[in-house]
Amino acid sequence: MNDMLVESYLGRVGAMECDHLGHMNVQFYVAKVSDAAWHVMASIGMTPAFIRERRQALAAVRQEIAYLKELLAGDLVCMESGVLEAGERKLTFFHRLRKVETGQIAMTCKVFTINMDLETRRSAPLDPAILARAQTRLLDQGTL
Amino acid sequence: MSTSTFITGRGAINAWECDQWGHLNVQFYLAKASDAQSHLAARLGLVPSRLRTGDLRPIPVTDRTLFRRELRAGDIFFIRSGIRAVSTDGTLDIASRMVNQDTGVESAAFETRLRRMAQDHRGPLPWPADVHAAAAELAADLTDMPRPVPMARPVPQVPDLGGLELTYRGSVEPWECDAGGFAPPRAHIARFNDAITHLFRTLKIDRAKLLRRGFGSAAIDYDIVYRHPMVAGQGVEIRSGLLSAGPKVFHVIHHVLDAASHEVITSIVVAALFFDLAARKSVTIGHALPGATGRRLAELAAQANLHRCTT
Repeated sequence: MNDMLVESYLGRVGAMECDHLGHMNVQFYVAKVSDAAWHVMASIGMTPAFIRERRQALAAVRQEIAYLKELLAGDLVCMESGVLEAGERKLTFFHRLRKVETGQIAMTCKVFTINMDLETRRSAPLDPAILARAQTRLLDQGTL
Repeated sequence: MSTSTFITGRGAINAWECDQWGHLNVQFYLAKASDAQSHLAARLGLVPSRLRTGDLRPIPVTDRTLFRRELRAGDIFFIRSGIRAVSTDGTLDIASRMVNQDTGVESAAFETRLRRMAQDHRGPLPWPADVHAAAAELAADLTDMPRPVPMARPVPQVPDLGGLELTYRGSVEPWECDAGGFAPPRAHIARFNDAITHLFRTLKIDRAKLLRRGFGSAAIDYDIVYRHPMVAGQGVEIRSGLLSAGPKVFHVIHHVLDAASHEVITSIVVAALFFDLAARKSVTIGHALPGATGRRLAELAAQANLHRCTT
């Protein structure tokens, strides 16, 4: 158990998310990671209110995904997420999608992000409080 | 948090789930609530693998949805659910509350009656003994989710199509149905969302003009009765009408009908209002629709009321 993981998504695989191979299409794994991202960002202080007021947010620049178990229409899923690495302008997040019924891990994902000023569309230093919070919530990678 | 309620949903609002008024469109509230109900059902033993193999489909019979505070793109939410009651005839009453996780403000309340539907669309069937027992154990007063007061204009038990306008025609596609071929609540609400634009047109309310003037319309309360399943391949139409109009709140009614048999599939009464898109606050009908259009709305509402009182 990694205490720094937060539940970042709880939902269900929709029939319209499944392709002709009979399982959830890859794009929807990424869609669920995207939904989860807002929750894990909020867990370190980058809340929706922060993003709107400070006009800064994290933008993904690289993603590594492992698809471990297929998911079928109707499957209940839960995402746990946390911070792997924290730097002055960048954070790396870890996401793990579980099939609720069996507990099996269906997907793991690392998302490498850069903090972006939403006005200038350029990278910007992270708010010091957010960076500090992220650094206190780093995941124990040995337990992942 | 009550021990009788559970977190059943968590997610974020995406820009493509928001409509021209800048907030989460009503159909996606029901979609997220449906997903949350599945998590609650799983706690009763109705897990996905079991649902795939047996005559155990829980489908909604009625839905009461109150939209309390809008959600916008980028907002994060959670849903908490609990069971109010389970009965031996196969119905299950569920309450869910959707909360803006950042602000803690409740965004929507859902009160849903589910029943067990057989594969051949017969029902209701009683729940299996283990499911009934699990539901009975979890059923509670849910004091932290008080029941909403009854709607001022609930769905009539017997649909009356007299005086209603044709506001939608379409077909139900497989891609919008669940794995069993049933259209979920979202598919019904998406059609009502289309229908209201056409009802407004018959009332001489131009949505585009409303938007340009800085006003939008929003539902605040739904009372929905699902009378029959809506299934892939079905042709459907909607008949709609104005029920009442007060200084701020107006009520409309929509019925989804099977286009071939004209059997009423779903009925909904919607309480709605107009709001200032910049201030995000409700306004009077007269403020949003000045002049003849606003007066006409009140006249039509009075006529509709008279029709229903005399038929």
